[in-house]
Amino acid sequence: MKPILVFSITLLIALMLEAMTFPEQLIWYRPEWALLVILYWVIALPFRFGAGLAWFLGLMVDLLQGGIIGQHSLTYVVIAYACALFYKRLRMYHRWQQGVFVAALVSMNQLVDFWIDHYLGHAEPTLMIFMPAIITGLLWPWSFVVLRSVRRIYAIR
Amino acid sequence: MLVVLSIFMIFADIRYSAFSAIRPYLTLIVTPIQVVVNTPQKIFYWSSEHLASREGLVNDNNKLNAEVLMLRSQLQKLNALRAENVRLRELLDASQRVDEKIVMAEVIGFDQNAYSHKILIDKGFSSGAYVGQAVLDATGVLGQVVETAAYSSRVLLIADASHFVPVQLSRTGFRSILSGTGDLKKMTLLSVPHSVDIKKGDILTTSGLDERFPSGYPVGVVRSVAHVPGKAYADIDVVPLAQLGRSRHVMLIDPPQVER
Repeated sequence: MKPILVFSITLLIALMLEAMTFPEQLIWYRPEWALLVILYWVIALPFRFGAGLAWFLGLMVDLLQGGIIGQHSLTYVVIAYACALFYKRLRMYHRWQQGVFVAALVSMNQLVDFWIDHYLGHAEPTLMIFMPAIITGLLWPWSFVVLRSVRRIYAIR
Repeated sequence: MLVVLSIFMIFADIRYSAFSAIRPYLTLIVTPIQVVVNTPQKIFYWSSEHLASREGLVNDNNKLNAEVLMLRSQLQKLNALRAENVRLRELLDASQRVDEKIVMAEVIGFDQNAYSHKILIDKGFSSGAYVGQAVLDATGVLGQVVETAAYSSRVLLIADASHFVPVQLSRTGFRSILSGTGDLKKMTLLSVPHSVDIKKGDILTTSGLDERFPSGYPVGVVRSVAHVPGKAYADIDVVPLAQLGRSRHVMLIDPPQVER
């Protein structure tokens, strides 16, 4: 298969996971699937994938979730940019250390999300907003391994 | 650049609803994803429908036949009552009510946002759905349509913190506004003075004053009434009657055309 096709499929799977229904009680434990995939590609190939890709995927997530248009685009762009700044250092880290860094980035995403929702008047302040960040950080090592093997098998450069 | 563009888009959307015209078409791009994600659930329902045992089907059939018989007998009474009602209304020279138009829809997803309670249904503006349309399930009022695409719509549930329904106490006729709390099993009745006759088990129906929800549909049942000294109004807890977050089939309702 063509590398670009495989790459698009990883994005599509991320979007499908975003659209999947999560149990109501566990809504705070939902990982940020799309961010996991974007961050991997930005760290692995920072000169090919960056803020533009993040912006596009954020827009898709907004449309999928019926939120404010531009909300996820904004947070994803900021995070992809921060990641692209630090990609050299990140590659040196151990995978769990990377996970911590990813959790920090995702909590930025959660904060901005919360600000926007709070501004609109339908969010109550709770520390649970950082739960998705922790879950995403814990998932990072595994998604990293999976996506790296995908990248190597299909020689995506 | 993109950050500025995003912020600009957020403000355009919030302040001026700039995307309301093209949003249905943009949503069309992601509709295939939603359909694919919903496929396993569809297969599950299909198989549970088609792989049922003969015995189970016979039992179901008997049960449904009994239910039809019961409903028929009730319907006979209803027809007589309706005719009587029309006659009385004519006598009173009051406006006449016309039956509402109903479109059935299937729930295909729930919103993955912890701050809002919305569901996704499989009928869009191509089937006549429009923003502001009332949505019911078999047991009560479910919510209203807030966004439509060609083949899907989003429905804001009545239990969402930003949703309000004007209601009427079916026992006394007292009118108030029922507000969502963000908890799917709890709603509150606003601004009810301590002197109002209301008690546990009272049923609230839509009052129709908003001209959005047709009047007379059950919304919730009062769970508890607390009179806290020093508070201006009574604290009234209401449980929604609709199966919020669990119903699979819903009905889109057109408000009745009132003939004057």
